[in-house]
Amino acid sequence: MGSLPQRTNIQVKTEDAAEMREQDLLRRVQAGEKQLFYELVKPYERRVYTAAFSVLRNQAEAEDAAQEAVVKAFTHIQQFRAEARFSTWLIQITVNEALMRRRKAHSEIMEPIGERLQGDGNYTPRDFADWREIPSEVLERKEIRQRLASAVAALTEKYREVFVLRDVQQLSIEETAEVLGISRASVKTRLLRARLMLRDMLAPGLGAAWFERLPFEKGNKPW
Amino acid sequence: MVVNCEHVWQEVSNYLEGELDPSLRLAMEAHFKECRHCTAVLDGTRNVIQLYGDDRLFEVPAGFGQRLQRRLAQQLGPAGFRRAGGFWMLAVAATALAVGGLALGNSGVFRQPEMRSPLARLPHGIPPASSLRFQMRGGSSTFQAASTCTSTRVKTRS
Repeated sequence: MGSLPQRTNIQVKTEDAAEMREQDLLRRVQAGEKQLFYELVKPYERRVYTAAFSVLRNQAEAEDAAQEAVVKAFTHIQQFRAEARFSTWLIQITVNEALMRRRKAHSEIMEPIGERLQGDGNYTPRDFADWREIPSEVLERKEIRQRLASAVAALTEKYREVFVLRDVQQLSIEETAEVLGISRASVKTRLLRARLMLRDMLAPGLGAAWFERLPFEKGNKPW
Repeated sequence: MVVNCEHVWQEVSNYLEGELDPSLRLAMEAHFKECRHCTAVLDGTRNVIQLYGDDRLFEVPAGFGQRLQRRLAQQLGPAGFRRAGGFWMLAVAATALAVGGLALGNSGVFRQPEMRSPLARLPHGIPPASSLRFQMRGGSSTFQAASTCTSTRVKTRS
């Protein structure tokens, strides 16, 4: 029982070294060594793409938006101030770019059906399937990755954006609030609902029963 | 403090974030010991967070990094492109193109295909020099037969 696992000392030291390198790169890029900008964004490529994808849910559009966001960050690098983390600033630009594109495309027409069904009241779990253990190799399986990706894509915008920024991008609650321009309390409420909805979608299948059933489906007999 | 299931569900996310005051935290832990449903909710929610926090989950399209790098190089302009290794990229691309071209040339892709019918092949018992020579009654004209480089006089009706 208890909260999520804490970071180890080695992880903390590695992150400190990466942050120092990032600060150095930032100073040099802002001083005019613009060819180093790619080095600065390279560690965040995946996060930038995922942020764009979480809003647009289309691979090609997400890549376009991610590229455009990085170019905007490059163009406005002099405006970046060290009060925020560079990654948060970059993700904020990406989310804004993606939201702008979505507005232009009027994609709200294609919102999942769930948007209209989810009220503002407290969320009550629908399923109490037991789901204690996650085998470490579970994500090696493509069908499980697809299932998880489909589940998060099925969330409505306001829950999906908060969930992706906090739990996929690992931004803090404050950073998530800042990126989306909403209050800390709204982030926490939406995060709770997103997590519970995903658990309801995944627990019945991703519990032990589903893992045991898969080999049969693939034709591998366990006996 | 005693909490019920509904209270636990509304706080399970804060519990996992470590954002609860100690008394509520203790009350929830006591509840989890007694309630199988709430323990299932807690375990499942924790699993969701751990699974989605894994880098392997969302795949970035192949070549995304290279395309992004090229886009940035365009922003940098020619000077930045050079400094960003553009000339090296060009040199490598040109070499690859040359080597590829040679390999393709030798592979026979552009070689004239052999005619399927043996009857259609030129040296079928007829000397090349005479293969295009023919005569018609009345008039004549001359043309160069490209395949044999033989000047041939052809008589045609005038």
